Amino acid sequence: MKNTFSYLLIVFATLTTPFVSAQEQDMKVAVIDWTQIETLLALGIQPIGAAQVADYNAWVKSPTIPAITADLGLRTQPNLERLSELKPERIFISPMFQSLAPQLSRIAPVTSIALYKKDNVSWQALKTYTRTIAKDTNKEDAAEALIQSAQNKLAELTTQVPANAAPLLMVQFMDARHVRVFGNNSMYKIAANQIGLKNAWQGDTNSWGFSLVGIDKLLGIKGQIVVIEPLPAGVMTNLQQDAFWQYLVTQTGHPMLTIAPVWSFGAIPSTVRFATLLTAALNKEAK
Amino acid sequence: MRILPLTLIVILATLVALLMGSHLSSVGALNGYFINPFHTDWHSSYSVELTLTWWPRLFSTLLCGAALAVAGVLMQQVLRNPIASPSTLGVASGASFGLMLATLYAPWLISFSHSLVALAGGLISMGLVFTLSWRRALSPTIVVIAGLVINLYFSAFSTVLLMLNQEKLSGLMIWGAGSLVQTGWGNVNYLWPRILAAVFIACIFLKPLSLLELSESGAKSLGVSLTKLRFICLGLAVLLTSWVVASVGVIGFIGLAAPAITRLMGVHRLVPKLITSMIIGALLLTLTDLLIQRLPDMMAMVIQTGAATAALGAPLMLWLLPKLAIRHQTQTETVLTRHNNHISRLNKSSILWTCSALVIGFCVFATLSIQTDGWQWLVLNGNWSMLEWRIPRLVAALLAGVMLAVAGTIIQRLSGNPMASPEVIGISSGIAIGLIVTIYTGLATSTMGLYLGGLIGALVTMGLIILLNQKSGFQPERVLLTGVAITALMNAVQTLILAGGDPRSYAFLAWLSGSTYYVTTNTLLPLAIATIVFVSLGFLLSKWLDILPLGQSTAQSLGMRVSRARLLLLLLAACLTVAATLVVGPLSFIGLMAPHLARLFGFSKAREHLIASALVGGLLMLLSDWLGRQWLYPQEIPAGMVASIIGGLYLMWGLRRL
Repeated sequence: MKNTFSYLLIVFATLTTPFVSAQEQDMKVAVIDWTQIETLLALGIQPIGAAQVADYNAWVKSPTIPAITADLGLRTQPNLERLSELKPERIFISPMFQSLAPQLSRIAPVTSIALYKKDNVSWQALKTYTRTIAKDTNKEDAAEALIQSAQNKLAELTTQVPANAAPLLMVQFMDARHVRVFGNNSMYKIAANQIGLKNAWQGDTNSWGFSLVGIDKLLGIKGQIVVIEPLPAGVMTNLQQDAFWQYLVTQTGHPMLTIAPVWSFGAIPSTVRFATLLTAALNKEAK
Repeated sequence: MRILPLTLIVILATLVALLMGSHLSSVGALNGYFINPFHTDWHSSYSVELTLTWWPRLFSTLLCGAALAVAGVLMQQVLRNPIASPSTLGVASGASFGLMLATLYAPWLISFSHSLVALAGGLISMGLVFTLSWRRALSPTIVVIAGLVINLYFSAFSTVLLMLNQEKLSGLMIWGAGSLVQTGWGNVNYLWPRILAAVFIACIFLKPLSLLELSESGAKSLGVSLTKLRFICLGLAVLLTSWVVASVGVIGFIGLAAPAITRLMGVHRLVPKLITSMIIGALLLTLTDLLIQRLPDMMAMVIQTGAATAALGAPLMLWLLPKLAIRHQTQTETVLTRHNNHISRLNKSSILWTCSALVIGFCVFATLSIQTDGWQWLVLNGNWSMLEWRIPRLVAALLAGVMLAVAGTIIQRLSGNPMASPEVIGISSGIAIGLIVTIYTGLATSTMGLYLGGLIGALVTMGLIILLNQKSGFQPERVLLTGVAITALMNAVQTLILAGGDPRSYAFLAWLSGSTYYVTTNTLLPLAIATIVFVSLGFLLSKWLDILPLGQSTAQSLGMRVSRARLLLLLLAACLTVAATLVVGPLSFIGLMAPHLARLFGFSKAREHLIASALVGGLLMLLSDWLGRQWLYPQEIPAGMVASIIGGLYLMWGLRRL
């Protein structure tokens, strides 16, 4: 028994050694933007520094930032002294943080990659985005593998989605009377479309794919209401007592669905996660 | 009642009726049984929409507008200050701070009752204001200053919380922008009995209140207990504001604008003033809200009513200003000359002592800091490359602190108003508006672009201040009011941006909170030159600063050209502020606090006041910058926020001693 165990240990060690050395060869990157962090983690790169680690783990949730990654502080003002101590080889930002570039470029070359901008977000754009990041970190193979597995997963989900499902009205509650309703240019819409579902909100949306509206604006839209968590404190109780909301839900013809938190402005990993949760919720309701 | 106010009310009412009519007819509600706002026909979605969203929204705007106007009239009457308004006592910022704390640390409180938390926050901040001004029998000036300090204090803390928790707090931002979306009669039912009761109680005190207008001593000799009267009336005003704020959100400017418009139309007696303001307030808010509901979808998503009234009210205020008759506020001057009992003299050794403290502080702050492996002293670990990051920031903080302090001293002495500061006269806000425009039009691809945008904003604001005040000879109160209006505009724009939930807005917020983050060695040299030039100019003009607070007539009899002197000093203060703001952001409040602190130390002659406040400002900013980077490492709290948190505490302590 003891021999078997030590034998296994040796096998395990030999198997993992090349993996570990590959890890060491990975580029040392620091990342500010959460969408980029989730993509890099999915590509198998562990950033040496990332911004707002605890908040990322609370809001983006998956893939989780490992403990060895240093917290760089706020995304709006990452800690320059800590960054310079970490000596990254490259720093990734999104155009949103462009004003940081002059300071950050004193530490390492800065690469700015955009995803969420007007009329840009689509499944194709998500793939391009992943490939761009992969190219900058020499992970092209991992990118193709990630895209392939995502497409396989989405294709598999397409077959599981209940037939003739209603268009989705995807909202996230800001307070008891206001929601972000997601439509064109949003990751949620891409996820829904990829598994063969339609999106009910036809109104304008901003560069991040949502529109901030009072819930009165949702009246008259036919479709399945999908509420993406987290709900702010007190909102659930409030909605249960709100005659208007009850009427609104009844009038859509479907009970309201809630879905566990998924980062609204994510890339491929969040898209797949959202599609999975969505399919599960729809199937549960259909039963 | 005179013709003018009546005409205005009729015009406003007609507009409201027209908009209401056009909405009702567009949904076909005029010719049917839908017309009853209180009866919901569950079979028709039009009826549901009308009776559960549209009508409640209309009634709540009427109620809120009226309540805020009454609160404004009461406050302006009690404090005898035309700038006083419900936000002066920090009610809105207190309520918003309370909600933030509860959202982050005690969500069960929010589930229990959202309005109660906001109400508690508003009442606590009012309580603090009253505590600070109790010893001076709630004297108008002290109440206003205490309110301002509490306001700044809460908003500094709120900004820090917001920066650290942007995702969790995004919902609160909508509430902060005062969205009036309703989904039932809950809020209206909550508001109307309370507002009615408060207005009824206010009516009981109308007579003693109108006596208060004559003069303080007159009211006293008639046997009115001033403290009690002020306490009750301010309390009522705060309650009214809290109810509105708690149920629908923060609605700016109505409380200031409605009474101001009423006064401008020549209504001076209290009873007609109260009634007219109430009607105008209600109609103004309703009109704005009806107009906003008609905006196309994309715009309506970004623009919330509460912030829109503030944004629309500001230009209105600017337009009305030249027509406003302002009494000279003699009571504010008494605060400025109060510390005569203990005059400190600056001598060479004390200056030397403070300067060496500055140098030692600088060296300690530059070398001692938290790093990845905990507290480190560069002398021991030899990692001197860190200085490359720290020195520019510390130097910039120091210089900006000095410049803002000098600018603040100039403005406070110039206006004889202890509430004045570069932030308050609107220059900083102008810079911020310039920045918002550059960020949102996408021109801010480089730091240089940001600077340029800020500079243009500052110049436009200064032009506006000069244009609006030239005729009055730069009368201090008027300049201040101009600043209040511009600041309100900036606040409105900022709230709108944060409420929209655009992730870019947080980069802007970070800049706005006054951080030295973007400083590099290249930006230091121009900053140093600007400091030396402008500060020495300030000292050259210090003689004017001794004479001007004595009053216009005294200054003129001493052979001074008062208007010209005021214009020059104002320009100098503006230049100082621009230079400092472009580096550390507009909201540090050093310009407000440093001169106060210097005065609390007892330096009241212009030259000594300048030196002392420059040193205090520099030291405070230096400490704030360092502390901000250690406090929540690796998160950085902007120096401006830390400065208001530290300085505010001291200021409160000082106020209590007054």
